[in-house]
Amino acid sequence: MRITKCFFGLVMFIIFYSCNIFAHKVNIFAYIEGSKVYTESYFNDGRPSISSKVKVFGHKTGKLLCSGNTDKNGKFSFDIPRIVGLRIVLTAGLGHMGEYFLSEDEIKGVVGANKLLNNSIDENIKIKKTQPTRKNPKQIDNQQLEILLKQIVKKEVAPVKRKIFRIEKKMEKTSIREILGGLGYILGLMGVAIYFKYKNR
Amino acid sequence: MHISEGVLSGFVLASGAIFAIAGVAFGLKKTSYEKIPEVAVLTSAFFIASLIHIPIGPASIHLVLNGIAGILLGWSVFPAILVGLSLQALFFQFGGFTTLGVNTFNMAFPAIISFLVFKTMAKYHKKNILVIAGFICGMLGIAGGTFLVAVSLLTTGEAFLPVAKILIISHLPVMIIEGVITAMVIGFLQKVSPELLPGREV
Repeated sequence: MRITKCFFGLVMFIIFYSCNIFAHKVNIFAYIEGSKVYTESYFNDGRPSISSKVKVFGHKTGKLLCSGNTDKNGKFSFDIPRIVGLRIVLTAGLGHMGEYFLSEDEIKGVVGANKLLNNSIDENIKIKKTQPTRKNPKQIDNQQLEILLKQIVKKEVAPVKRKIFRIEKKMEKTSIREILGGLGYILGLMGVAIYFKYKNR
Repeated sequence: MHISEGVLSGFVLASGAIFAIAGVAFGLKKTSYEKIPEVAVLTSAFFIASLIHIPIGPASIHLVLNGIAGILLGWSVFPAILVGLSLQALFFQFGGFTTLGVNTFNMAFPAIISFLVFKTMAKYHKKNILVIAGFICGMLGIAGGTFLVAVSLLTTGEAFLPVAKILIISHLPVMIIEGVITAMVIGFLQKVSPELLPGREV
């Protein structure tokens, strides 16, 4: 029994020692900005996954749409190949793999908004060229208002986006709750095993 | 050394699962009533060991502790590692449930080899033989594991030799650290309760 106590001591020590130490799961995250998809990949311990292969598949068709390698910061970006749901797969070698899904709606939303924005900017330039002098410069028409709003929203939302990305990254890390939960399961299973072995004795 | 989901082919997954089921069934049969708490304690150690990351070398590596688990548990190491890996997959998202069989076999089989080697060496009553055996078997657990992982990855099209080379080189620090840990634990057990060690049962 003394030895069991020693081992439990060791286990407890490891728990508290390991709270901030993470192992080797590989993660990939992606977000859309403009007409490009940006991805970031890193291991659980926060190190970037360098020059790992990234493959982009159509979610439904499973067809390979494009591929490439991550740079030294674990980043990789590509133009949106098609307006479909994307499955982005990262292979870091030696059996490590991570996945991220971008839904069709998400891509459609961003691409649609961009198109609208670009079109209206073009049109606006045209309008401005044809009508160099305006009667009332303070009067803003609906279209201009929309563009302005979109630009403002984009600017305001950018830090929130970054924050969500950081939180997503943080959530992937192991917490003490999970460790203790796992140990609880082991204790429970031990109880079950003892129960059945005892009955059979 | 957890192989992620979606990397291996169905054939490798299935054969890994079959070997693992056989090992677990045999291990459960061999586990005596008195041994269950010991199995649970070493399962906990194995479960948490994967969180201890070793920042040496090119790859991302962590402790495994399958060598010491094998020495102390014998065939019971199969269910211990299965439970440990399942919980790691559930809580830490290491590996995955489809690769559970392959990963269990890859970690538990070298542990059994460590057990057999230790048992054989323990029969020679020489000074420090147990500590030396502990060091060797701690290293064997990792070495065997890397070898089996490289074999499993063969089917994915990764060439065996370069992969095995990277795996072995990146796991050299872990091998040595685990060898030292195992030797220390064995040395300690030899003093306080030698009856726990295989080949030295009373």
